Formats: sequence, C-alpha cells, structure tokens
Amino acid sequence: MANSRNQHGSERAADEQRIRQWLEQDIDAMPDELSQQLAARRMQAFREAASPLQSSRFGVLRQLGLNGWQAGASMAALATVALAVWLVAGPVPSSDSARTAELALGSEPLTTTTDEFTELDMAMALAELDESEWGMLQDLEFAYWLSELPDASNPAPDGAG
Amino acid sequence: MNLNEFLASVEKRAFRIVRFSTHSDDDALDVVQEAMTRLISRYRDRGPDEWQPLFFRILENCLMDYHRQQQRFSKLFFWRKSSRPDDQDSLQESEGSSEAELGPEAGSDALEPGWLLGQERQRGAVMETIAALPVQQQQCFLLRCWEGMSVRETAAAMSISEGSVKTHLSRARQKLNEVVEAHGQ
Repeated sequence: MANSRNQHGSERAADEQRIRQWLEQDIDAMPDELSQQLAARRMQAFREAASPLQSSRFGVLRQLGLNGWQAGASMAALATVALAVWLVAGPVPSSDSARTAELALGSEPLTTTTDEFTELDMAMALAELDESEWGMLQDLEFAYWLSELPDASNPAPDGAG
Repeated sequence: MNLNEFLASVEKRAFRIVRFSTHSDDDALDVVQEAMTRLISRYRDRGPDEWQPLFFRILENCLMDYHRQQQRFSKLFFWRKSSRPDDQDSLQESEGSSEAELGPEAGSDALEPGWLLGQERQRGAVMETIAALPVQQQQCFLLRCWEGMSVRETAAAMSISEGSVKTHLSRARQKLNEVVEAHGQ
C-alpha cells in the first residue's frame, strides 16, 4: 500500500518535472520578435515610472482601442454636440427668470428646462475631465459595480488541502 | 544586480505566466509592462532579494485587475465577444480538441511511428490544459511548480490563504495528471 503510494508520488513528480521542462522549452523557443517587444516594454516601463502622470493600462479607453488623442477628440465632439443641442433648444432661463415665469404662470415649476441644463452641465464637466480625474471616475464606477454584486457570486471558501 | 537586469531576467517567464491567462500576446505584454512600471515606481529602493516576491505579487494583482476590467468591459459591451471563454467549457473543449487531434488510432499501435510525435502531442495537450485552467488554479500551479515558490510565497503573491493555494494546486495537478495519463505512452 505504502509502496504503491510512493510509486504514485514519484510518477507525479516525474510528470511535473516533464511539465517544467516543457515550460522551459517554451521560453527558449520564444520568437525573437516577442523578446524584443518585451525589452521595449521594459524600457517603456522605466520611462513611465519616471513620468509623474501614470494611468491604468486596462481602462475603458484602452479596451475601446482609443488612445489619448482619440479620447480627447471624442470628448470634444461630445461637447460640441451637447452645445449645439443646447443652442437649438434655446437658452436656459436663469433661476430668477424661471421663478418669474413660474409665478407669472402660477402653475407647475419649469423642472424640464432645469433638468436639461443639469444634463448639459454634466456633459460639459465630463468633457473637461483630465486623465487622472477620468480614472477616478472609473474607480468610483467600479466600486459602485462591486457594491451591487450579490454576495452569492463570491467563491465559496476553500478548505485546507 | 540592478533593477533592469532583474526585470530582464524574469520578463520572459512573467510573460509566459500571464499569456496562459490572457490568451493574447498584446494583453500579456500590457500586464507585464504595468507590473514592471509599478515595481520600478514604487519599490526601486528596496533590496534585490525583495524584488522577486514583490514583482510576482504585483504581476498577479495586475492580472486580476486585467480580468476585472475584462469582466466589466464584457458587461458594458455585452454584444462584443469575450476573449476568454468560460473556464469549465474551455477546459472541456481543449480536452476534446486534444482527443480529436490524436485521431481515432490514438492509444493503440499508432504510437509506434514516433516517440517524439507522441511527446509533442502530450506536450500540446498539457499546455492547452494549463491555458484552460481557471485563473487561480493556473496561477497557483505556475507559481508553485514552475517558479518554485513556497506555498506561503504563492499565497502572498496571490493574496489568498495558504489553504486556498493547496486546494487550487491539488485541483490543477489532478486535471494535469488526468491529461498526462490520457496521453501517456
């Protein structure tokens, strides 16, 4: 019984040794192009570490395949469209004039116009976010998403093996 | 040894470890670069003996960040196809494809034509299985059995308990042994 267990254990160890060898062979057979890319990424890492502004490499912009300029252009386009919509819809009355209009009408408050103004305000504010603020917004969004997750989705605690 | 030399010495293995999980060269390069950047910017002043555990811990954190981001992205843009199929399905698929590659004559006299060919098939099946393992099982196996880290070091690198490391490792070994035995000669 003990002998067969020992034999089984040594077979497992031999299998793992073989797997390790295959993994090492994989590394040895890595194409030169990939090795050069890795070296370039290392140099880039040193450059990025030296620069004060760092952003997450896995952000939504990256996932969408947008670089900084494209993201900026998209934001500018969004702001332009929002401005055009605002101009077409007409100027928003100030709170005083809205109140005057409300009093004059003696009816419902002008909540719709105020809501439009708030959305436009938000769009403009989003367009003006820089990369670090945008990252913070993403983090907040992620934290909110995490808090929304049901407890059941957490993996069951593992027992000792 | 300076930090540049240290990173040069581990970058290929780090890339391979991450590549198993991301299934994409570009994504694996991104994760490795991010880990390098974080190590350089935060821990360059630490002693060289601390670099390896720190680097692999950061690497695992970056990998988890990557997977979280992928998960968020797939929920946000649900019409796009995920780059990583479901763990269990992909394992079964890979095992199935390995069997299919062997052909109907596998396991019989057809092994005669070449020992090397058999080895190569076994190797391919094992690599596919490692790539298809659930992320934590896969990373536990690679850090423990390939990088040679202790259970404690692996637990620290992955921010999980030592018991979890043993469990993940045992499951990974079981699956790999099944594949090795199935393709044994």
